[in-house]
Amino acid sequence: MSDLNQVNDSAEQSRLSVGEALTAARKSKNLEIDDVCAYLRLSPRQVLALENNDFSVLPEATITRGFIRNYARMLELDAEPLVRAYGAFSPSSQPQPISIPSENIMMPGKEKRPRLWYVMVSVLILLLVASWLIYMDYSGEPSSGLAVALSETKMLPETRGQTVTLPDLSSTATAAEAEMQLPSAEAVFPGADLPVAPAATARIEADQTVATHAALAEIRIKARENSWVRITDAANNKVMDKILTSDIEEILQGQPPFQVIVGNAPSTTLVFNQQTVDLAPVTGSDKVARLKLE
Amino acid sequence: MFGILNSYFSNDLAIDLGTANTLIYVRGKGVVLDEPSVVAIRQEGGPAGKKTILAVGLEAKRMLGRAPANITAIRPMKDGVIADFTVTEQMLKYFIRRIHESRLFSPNPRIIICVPVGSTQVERRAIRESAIGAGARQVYLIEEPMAAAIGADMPVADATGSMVVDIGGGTTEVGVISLGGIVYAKSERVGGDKFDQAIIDYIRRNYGMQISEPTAELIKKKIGSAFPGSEVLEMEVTGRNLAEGLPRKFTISSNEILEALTEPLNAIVGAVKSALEQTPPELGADIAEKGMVLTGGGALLRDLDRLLVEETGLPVIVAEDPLTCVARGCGRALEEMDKLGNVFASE
Repeated sequence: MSDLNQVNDSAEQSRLSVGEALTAARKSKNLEIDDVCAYLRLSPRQVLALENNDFSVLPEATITRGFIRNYARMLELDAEPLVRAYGAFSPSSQPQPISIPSENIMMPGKEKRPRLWYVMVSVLILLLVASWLIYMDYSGEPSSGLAVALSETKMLPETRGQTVTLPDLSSTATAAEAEMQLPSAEAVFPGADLPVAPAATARIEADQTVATHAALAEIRIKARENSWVRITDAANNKVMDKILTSDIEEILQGQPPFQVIVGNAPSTTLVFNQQTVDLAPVTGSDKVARLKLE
Repeated sequence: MFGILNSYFSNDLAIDLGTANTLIYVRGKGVVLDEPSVVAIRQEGGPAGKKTILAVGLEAKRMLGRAPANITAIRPMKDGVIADFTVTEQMLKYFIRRIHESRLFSPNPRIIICVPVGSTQVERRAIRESAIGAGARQVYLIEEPMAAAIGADMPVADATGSMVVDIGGGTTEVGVISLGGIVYAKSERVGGDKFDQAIIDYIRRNYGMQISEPTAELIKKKIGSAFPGSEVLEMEVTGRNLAEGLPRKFTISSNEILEALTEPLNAIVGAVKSALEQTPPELGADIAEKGMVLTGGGALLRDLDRLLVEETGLPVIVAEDPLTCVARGCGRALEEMDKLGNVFASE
């Protein structure tokens, strides 16, 4: 008999909506809304919403299904037909999302900016180094030629200032002529016996050697008695600093002008470029001669 | 390259490695395995002899309390964490093989395993290591309240508070979740096992009878109740009389079981109340509106929701299919694992 009643109840529930079934069952048990609220710990608003099928004011579907089951159990109804009937009202059967939809926009962090700055500076330095290397690789010839020209131009005032006249100097090319021939190192130096400063670049070293040989001066010095002699060349290098012993002739070559100090001048004979130098005018009372050979 | 091959030969798995039951969810298939976390081990040739695994799962559970001296049926999980590392590893290996039984090569899947929220770093590490030892290629951990809430289809990602109470075999996890993360969680080492033990202790104390764990579990399932109801149920139980040493039958009522369960139930109520106290007011208002959701096997204890309604004054809902909630939640996380970041727990 009770089974038959249950079948009838279920059939009636399926015909009725959720709210109508719950309201009818509550009234048949002579229960008030407040009794339901006190038992289920729901607010009157929620119980009325359930009874009026106003599911929009109730929480999400999972929770509402739980409320319906609890209410049905309280009223001793079969909850499943009511839950199924509620399925028609629930907006969708999509499960709740479990991750927050994110725009994935990175927040500007304090530590990000210096890192970016370092990267930019590093890239800039690398670009500068790379461009310098490329410049050196591809424009090596013209730039070295330019360097030679510049160094030669720099040398010219020195050559212009030299007044030494070497015995075998055949050419008397002026500084202006030398300047005009500067673009080609070959044209300036071979055969041209122009004195060249020792600061010439390596590229023209061979040519310069020829020129230097041509400009070297020779000093022969001989002492009849012991005599201290110090000779420094144009570069202020000591080419001789010693005591000459008697009757031994010393021959040396170097770049004029020479600064010469002879300790015992009366007993010393000095020959510069095969010309005997008279030391008497430059000898002091202490027999020391100080002179400059150009 | 090897990852693509591995993914072809292995299915990604979500495992609810519970104290009482192990459930496995396979990606794209759903929950495919639900077995008790019990392993039967046979000792061969005396105490120093070789040990072999005789049975795992349901078959091993049948041997609990019925095995001869050389067979030990053990539960490698205790209070939600690993109690016997080697046996857990072998049990997991057995379950994973069973799912992949038709495969030619040994499987090494990606695995999501849930861990109690109160587990220590060492305990989490043990769970991870045992999964790797069982052949996992990669292991992700997810905290049980989060998995339970996802499994119960609660709006975990919304800016609204959701409260979940997962009563498992070893632990009760209470969690308040909002915006995809756990705002507050508390784990109490009380669960179905403690209920069984409370029933055993009550019967020994009041009846002078010794009953086994499976019998206690049966009593709990049949007439166990958490709140005094209008209907009083009774059950005939067989145990060993401690005074006589002989098997005897006796009848026990649901009201007595309610009395027996008072202590573990109070612990659960305490954990729920503590969580509510610690919940920020804004989320508390959401929970008052929606109530809390019960999941896990413990939620099936008769009138447990009624007890929590009376104790907290809030609506309480038992989730649909509460036993598989955590496994289904892990499964949802597995299906969407590529999109998830903050859902997974660290060690």
